Amino acid sequence: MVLLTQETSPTGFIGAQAGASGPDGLVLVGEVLVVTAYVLVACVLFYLAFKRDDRERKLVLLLFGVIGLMGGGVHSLNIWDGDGTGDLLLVVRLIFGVMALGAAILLFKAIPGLMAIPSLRQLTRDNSKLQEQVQERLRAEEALRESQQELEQRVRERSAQAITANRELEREIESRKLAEKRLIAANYELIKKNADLDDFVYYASRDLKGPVLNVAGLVQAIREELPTDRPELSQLFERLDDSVARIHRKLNNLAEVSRIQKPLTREQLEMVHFADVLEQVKEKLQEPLQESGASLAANFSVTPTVYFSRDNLFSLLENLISNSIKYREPQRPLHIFLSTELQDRYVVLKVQDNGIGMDLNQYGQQLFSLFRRFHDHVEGSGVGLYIIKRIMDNNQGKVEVQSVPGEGTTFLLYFVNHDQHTGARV
Amino acid sequence: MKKLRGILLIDDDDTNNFLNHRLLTRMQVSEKIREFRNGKQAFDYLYSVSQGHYDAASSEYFKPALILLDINMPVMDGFEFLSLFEKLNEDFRKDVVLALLTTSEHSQDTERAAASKIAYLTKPLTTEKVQGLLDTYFPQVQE
Repeated sequence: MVLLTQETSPTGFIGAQAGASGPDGLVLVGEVLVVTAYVLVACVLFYLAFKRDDRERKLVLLLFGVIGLMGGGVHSLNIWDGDGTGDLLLVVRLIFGVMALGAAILLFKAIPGLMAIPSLRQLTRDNSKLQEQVQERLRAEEALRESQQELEQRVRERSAQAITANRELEREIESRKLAEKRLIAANYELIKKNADLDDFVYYASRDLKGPVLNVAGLVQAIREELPTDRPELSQLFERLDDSVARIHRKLNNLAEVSRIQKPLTREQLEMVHFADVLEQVKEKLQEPLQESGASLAANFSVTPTVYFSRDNLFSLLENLISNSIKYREPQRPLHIFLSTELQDRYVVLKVQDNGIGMDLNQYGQQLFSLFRRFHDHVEGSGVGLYIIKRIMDNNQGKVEVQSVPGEGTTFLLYFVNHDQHTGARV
Repeated sequence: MKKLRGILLIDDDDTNNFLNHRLLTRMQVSEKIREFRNGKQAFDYLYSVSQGHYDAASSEYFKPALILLDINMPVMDGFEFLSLFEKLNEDFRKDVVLALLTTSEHSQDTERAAASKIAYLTKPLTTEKVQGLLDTYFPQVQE
């Protein structure tokens, strides 16, 4: 704007000068200075236009430069033509004026563009704002990087922890494996020792039997050699016979125990009828059954058979029935009732009697222990229940006892249920 | 009563042999009874007899009608003796009765004895058991 007013006033001045006539040297000097100033300004403007790299300002500077040059041109014409006459000069002057005016008009048009150009203050402000934003962003980035580093650090720590934990776990697994191996070895050792013990019991009982039988035979021989009229001797012989018989029975029991410890082979397993085995047992126990006057009833209709070793089932029934006979209540006739039923995956054999019963709270824990006896009024070996328990354990079964003192006892034997035809577990 | 031709008692237990010898003598089952301590001695003896390598005049050598055999013996046990005995001359064997004597009713021995399909008795030997054996295997001797 300043330039514009400056520009208009010289034009007016030029116009006034053109109207004046006969200027002196002073006027000429003024004109020369003015022209020089105009040209210099124009040069500066052109230089600036040339140097500037934004189009908008370049144009404006160029236009100002043109106006300045035109102004300079008009004034130089004044110098050239001091009189201010001559048509050609007038035309040139007019052209210059028109060009300057055109440039001024173009400048008007450029006003919106120039207005849009931000001021330096605004730019500075914007710039500092931008810088602030940049700073902000840098700070944010920094924070981000820090948190990322922290995160990475944490990840590293975590993975380190995980690796440590993993190693510990591996060590733990190793030590457990070792412990397991040791356990297996110990178990194997135990099984071996058990087998050795069974063998020992078996061979000891078998080898002791011979000498015991010899003693019995020799006692008999001595008795036959001695005169028969010595009653005090026969009393001694009775006691001797009794003692030898007891040793013999104990040895038989031991042999029986060691025999049932031996694992069964598949060939020994078959579908056994309870009724068949019961008949055999009744035959064997005929004498005690008769003596005790026991009545024996059975109902195997629910499950008449079981997949088992016939020999073992015989042992079970023999031991259970002779147990009932031994521990009968002398005041009332003995009733023994045997029955079977199905329970889940078990065939259950129930042997019920009305004997003297027992206090399970007192004896329950030791009931199935070897050589434990709870009565002294009858001859017992202390192996019957142990044998029952062992047989059931060896065949993945179990034994349960229910008893009321003075009323009777019920033994429940749980056999693993097997398919009638395939022998596979149900 | 007619007596048996002769009896062999094979058992490593001297006292048992003594008692059985005594029992059989008292029952007057046979005049000739010999004891052996193990299967090998008994087999060597039987082999000599079967081959006729013996002094016929000697009462020490005879062909037995009955052999009572223990199972558990050192050197050669009852079952080894049995398998060797079966290799002897058929003619020699046909009129010789073998019976196993076992100590226990419940043992692997009983099962094996039962499987071998020859007579077996549980110790101790008694008059009844001997009588049962005679009734079964020597009915002609009874009269």
